[in-house]
Amino acid sequence: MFRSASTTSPRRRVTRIAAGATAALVACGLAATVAPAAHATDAAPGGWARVAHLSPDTKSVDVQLTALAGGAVVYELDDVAYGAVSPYIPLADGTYVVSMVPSDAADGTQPVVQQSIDIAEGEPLTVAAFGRNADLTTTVFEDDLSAPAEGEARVRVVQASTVESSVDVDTTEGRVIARDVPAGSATGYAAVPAGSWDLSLTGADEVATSAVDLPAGSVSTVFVLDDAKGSLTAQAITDSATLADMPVGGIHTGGGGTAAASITPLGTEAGTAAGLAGVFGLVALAGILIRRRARAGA
Amino acid sequence: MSLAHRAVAGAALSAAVVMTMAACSASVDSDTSMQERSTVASATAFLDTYVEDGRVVRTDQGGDTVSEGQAYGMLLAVAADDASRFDSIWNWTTANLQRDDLLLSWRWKDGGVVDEQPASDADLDAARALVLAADAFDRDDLRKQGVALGSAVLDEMTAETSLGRILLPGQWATASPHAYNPSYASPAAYDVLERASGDPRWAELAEGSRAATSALLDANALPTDWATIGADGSVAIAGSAGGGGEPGYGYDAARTTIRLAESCDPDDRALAARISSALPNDEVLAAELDSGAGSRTTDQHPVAYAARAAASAADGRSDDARADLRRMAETAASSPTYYGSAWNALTAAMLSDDVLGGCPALAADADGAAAQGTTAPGIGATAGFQDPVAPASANTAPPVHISIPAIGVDTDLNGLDRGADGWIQAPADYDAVGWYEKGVLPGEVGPAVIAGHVDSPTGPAVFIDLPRLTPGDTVAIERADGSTADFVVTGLQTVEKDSFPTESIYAPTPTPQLRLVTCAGAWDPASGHYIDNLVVTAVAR
Repeated sequence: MFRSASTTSPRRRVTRIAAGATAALVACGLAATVAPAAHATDAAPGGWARVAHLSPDTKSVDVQLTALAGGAVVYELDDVAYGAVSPYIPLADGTYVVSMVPSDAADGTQPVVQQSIDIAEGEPLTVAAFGRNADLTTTVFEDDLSAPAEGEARVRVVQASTVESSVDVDTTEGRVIARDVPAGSATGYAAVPAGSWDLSLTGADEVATSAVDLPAGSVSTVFVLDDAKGSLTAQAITDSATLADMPVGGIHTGGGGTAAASITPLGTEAGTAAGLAGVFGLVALAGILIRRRARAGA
Repeated sequence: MSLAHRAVAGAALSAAVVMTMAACSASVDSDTSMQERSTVASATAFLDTYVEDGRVVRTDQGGDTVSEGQAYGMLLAVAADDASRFDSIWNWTTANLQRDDLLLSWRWKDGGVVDEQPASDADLDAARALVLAADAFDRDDLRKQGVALGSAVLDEMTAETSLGRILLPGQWATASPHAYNPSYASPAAYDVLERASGDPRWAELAEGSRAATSALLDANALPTDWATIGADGSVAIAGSAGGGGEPGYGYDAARTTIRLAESCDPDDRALAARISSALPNDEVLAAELDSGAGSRTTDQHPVAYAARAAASAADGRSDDARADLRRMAETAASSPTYYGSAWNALTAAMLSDDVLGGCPALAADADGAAAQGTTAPGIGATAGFQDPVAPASANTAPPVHISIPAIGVDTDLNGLDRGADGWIQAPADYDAVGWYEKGVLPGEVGPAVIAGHVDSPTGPAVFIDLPRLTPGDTVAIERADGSTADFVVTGLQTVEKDSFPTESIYAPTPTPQLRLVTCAGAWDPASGHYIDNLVVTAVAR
């Protein structure tokens, strides 16, 4: 015991950190907290993930999502077949492990794919297993929730063909969607006029066409895949969507019949404000109403 | 299990997208590869700064050398994949610190050993580094030396108690009640050494250490630098190795959480997560806390942020963890110290990389590109290619009926259009509910808009009770094809109509959702309208 002092006291001498360090840390913290604003009263988890089975010679899989903290299975999907992209699964912020096991496998079979993902508010992810079974790979693509411009759609290409190492995607009218997309990659999103398009897919050897529907307000991913004959094919999956024809303003959904009885102080005051205008506090309330009314007239 | 190589950068590849592209994927790469690079970069930075001819010099602590520093240097040489530096540090250690019983003398200064007593954390880290180096650099001689050093630790610096086998801080602590340092226990090191040696005492040590830490956290929510453990399993927190002073959470204790968080055993990670709730949340974290988590100093130190990052990571709060890792790196950069730089580099390696043989709590990167995955080729293979399954085609059947049991709504749906002013027009009938036909079909991906009146000029209308909805209430939409789309309420908000935040309320969503709209707020007799809208959000279930 006597030697404890000599083991411990000199061990961790530290230099004092100047106040300047604090300022730097605050700035850093600010940068780290930039995130899309959440709905104030929204109780739903703010993140999403979906899984894509893009390996042409791998059987259907059962998918499990496990929370790293606590290890609880939070979601299961059965029989995800080649070419299938699951719906988005809402998930709270945190780290999850995605496991895929062949659907017909015995209990305890090693997962064919395991991939950990970090879910963050407002940042949907696609976890994809692609490549031939013998050199199966996983990757995580970030999906985009940005709204398309009026009358437009947004689209990107995920190139999962194992036959062609690189593919061009154009509309049959000759509009270029993406050039030289390497296998296993995703392009960024391109804006296109909304509508139904025939896409031509061009690899070194294979050429194919595929019809896709890209409605106004939609954001889609075109997955380039192999079919059973080893030819190219493609299908579009919706990543997100908003209103095709975006309104302005709210909706007038009331006739006022319950307004006097309603509990809202402003509503009650409005009918009687003139008679009570001498009361100081109510003048202020009426003032708010007038200002709002003025804006309504503008 | 084949560990996967880092996946190829996913998001923004070099594919030339010729058409207009939204500039929203620009920041994708910065954070991702940062983590991948940071292990090697911060390890190399430590080695470059503090290692002289194989000796790890505590430049800010009088230029001496301790066995702990040599062990950190060895671990970081493995993390940096630097075989020659590893050899030079280990060679200096064997020549100057290693005793006949293989344990390492604790302190060296001015040309010689000044304290020949070993410290078990250093010897354990060194043994772990030797085994990892044997694998990384294909050197069986290093594995033998690591296993031998580990056996000496087991023989000389462990004790059996009612809690199980525990790691003694040194040979001086063999009498019960044993002095105990929770931050010396290293589950990942036990695991690495167990696999290399097959010695069952490593698993006993893992179990006993976990029981000891758990019992200590029962006694005090924060781990303390020092404690005592009796042979009968009784535990107490202590102020120092000798027992004196005020117990505290300082430079030693911080390592407890990091070592627990890098463990592959979920029970250890759960202990790290447990510590997370005992730590202060303030952005600026003091380097030393008292046992009740009050600040003992205004100093900051990388290891304190590293520990809180580890706790958050184990608790599944990766964003918080990353924020603290950034603070750790900032603090290490703005005020470099031997101990701070070492833990800055070790934490990067332990939490976001498996190069030190643990299970990184931050393995996946939110930004995708550097995420790790494992695959098992051969499992589930088919004989040849298959045709892809066709995606479920969009259901184009219009909605015909809505029911919201919680507020007694059960009525047919009408179509709604926009007026000349661009506003969605309310249903003509006060008791009708409508859906906006130029928006999203309820049940398809996106926010479908459904509106109903709160009242008529004379009394309540169909959505009078919409404000009473609470998260968890259900909404069912029946479509013309007889199918039903089910939703669950997640939130309510009130917004001013004139400044209706279209961009956020009708923002694109990746799942089918509803926006149920009615009126709220004050009645404006001049315009004949309510001033606000109530918007209820419901999501597909």
